[in-house]
Amino acid sequence: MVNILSRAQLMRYGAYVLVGLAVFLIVPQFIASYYVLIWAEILIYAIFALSFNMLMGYTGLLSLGHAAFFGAGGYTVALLVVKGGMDNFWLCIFIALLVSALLGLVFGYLALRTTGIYFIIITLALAQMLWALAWRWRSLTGGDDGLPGIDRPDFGLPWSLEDTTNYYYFILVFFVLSLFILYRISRSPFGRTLVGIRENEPRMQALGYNTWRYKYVCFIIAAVFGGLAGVLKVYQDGFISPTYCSMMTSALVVLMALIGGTRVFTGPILGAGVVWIIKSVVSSYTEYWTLILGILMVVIVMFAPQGIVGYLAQLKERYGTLKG
Amino acid sequence: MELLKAEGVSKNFDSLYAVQNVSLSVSGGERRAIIGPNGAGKTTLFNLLAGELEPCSGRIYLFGQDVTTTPVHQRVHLGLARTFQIMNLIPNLSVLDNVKLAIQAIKPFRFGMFRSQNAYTSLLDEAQSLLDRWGLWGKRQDLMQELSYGQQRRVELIMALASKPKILLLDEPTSGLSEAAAASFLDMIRELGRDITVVIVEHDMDVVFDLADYITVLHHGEVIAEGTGREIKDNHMVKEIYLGEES
Repeated sequence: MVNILSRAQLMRYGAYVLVGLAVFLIVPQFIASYYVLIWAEILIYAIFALSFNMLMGYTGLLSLGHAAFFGAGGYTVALLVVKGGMDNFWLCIFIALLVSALLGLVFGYLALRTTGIYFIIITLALAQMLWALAWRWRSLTGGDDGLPGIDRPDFGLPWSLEDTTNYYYFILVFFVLSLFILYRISRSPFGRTLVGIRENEPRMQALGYNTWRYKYVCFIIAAVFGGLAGVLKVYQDGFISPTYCSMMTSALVVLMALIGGTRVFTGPILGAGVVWIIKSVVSSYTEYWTLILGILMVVIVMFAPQGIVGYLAQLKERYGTLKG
Repeated sequence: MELLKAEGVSKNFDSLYAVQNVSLSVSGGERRAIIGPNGAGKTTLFNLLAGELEPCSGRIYLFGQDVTTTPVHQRVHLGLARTFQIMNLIPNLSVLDNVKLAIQAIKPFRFGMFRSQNAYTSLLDEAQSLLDRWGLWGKRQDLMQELSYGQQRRVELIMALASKPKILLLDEPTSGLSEAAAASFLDMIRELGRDITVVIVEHDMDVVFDLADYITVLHHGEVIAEGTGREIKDNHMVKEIYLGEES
């Protein structure tokens, strides 16, 4: 059998997972809370980038408006909490994900009528509409002043989520869950079909696939997880502004996916880490952090167009036989 | 019984009539060839039958059902499969992945999201029996693009057969193949059971004479002759088109 993992392989994967869990669980106990904060943000952006990559990496659809869903999730929670006085976290997140899904339903329906460059432009335009709404509708969204006063959820546990490290663990749960679900989807018949569509859509139609439906469902899945990232971020910040659904945020997630690697499932996670560290850590030393990000992007495009993780995977394949 | 029927089908691109008022009917188990010189409208007719194009007028029936406006992917589920004139596969995936995708296309679990594709062992079993039957199981791990042209053609046919079609449409299957590869491909077609009806579009007349029961000849988008191989060979209009233009 070719597809069943051998026992040794299973043990190796098991070891990876254990080491990963240990790092993610234990290390935050020993580092300054400023770095825990950044780490938590990286996890949020990793969810965001993974959701984006379902479109970009798996289906071959480049969306320049993925921030729309980040903003939709974030603003829904912000409005429910600040304007609606709702303090039930589960209800808030449920409504926020529902709104993200509905927005994906509408945006996907419109955007997927086009392909190629038109798809890119229309996703950008739709997200910009949302951004303009957040920017101009001051009475509701506070415009560019944003909406402050979003408290972290309180489950009545002894560990307050106002504590950075505790909130980090809270995010970690959602990260692991998202990772698991999206990974399962990527390996499923549905996920394999997306790859086929990316590679040769007319051929998939001729094989009997209703490719539009696959792309549409994928778009909605990406919207929901993009919304989830927005929800987690807004609780983290306690504040929302139109930046959430800005072009900058959309561009950032594209960079994350490209730098990490779009063809490897874990690529966008590393990409999120690299980009966010440059944006938050390097930017505190120099205002030229975007220059560094730009140079990195150029280097990646020129020398490792498959992204960092893609490049490493290729190296491993090339030298794997030496290591045995 | 008529499995596939076209009734007065026309297709024009702007002012150019590619296919004009074509009627034909193919019955179960038949081996039908559609031939004609370059530019006769063969590929257009083929794409109309497969559903890639929609006719400007006329109707197309599949198993007695009007499919004139039915999209390609739905026709596959009705029992129609096709191959392409220009190799049309998924070059960056392995042979096995290509075939698995082809089999999966008509399975109820094709929208399945939570179990790994590998967990559907029936997929692997079916892929193995198909690839085994045509001697390509040993190549399953190779990327599609690493295969020879002749092998790719064979995989393409396997992928068309994966949906268990009742009608198989072949668009110039031997074009670009060496003589030997073409011969082995045609052997594959001959081995197919009569439960599969085959419609083959060909430029090369020799290819079809020993394969087809019945031949439809297109010229300038119109049907100018129809009959058995012998009848077509003796048809003076056909002779004129194929020989006259050259002499």
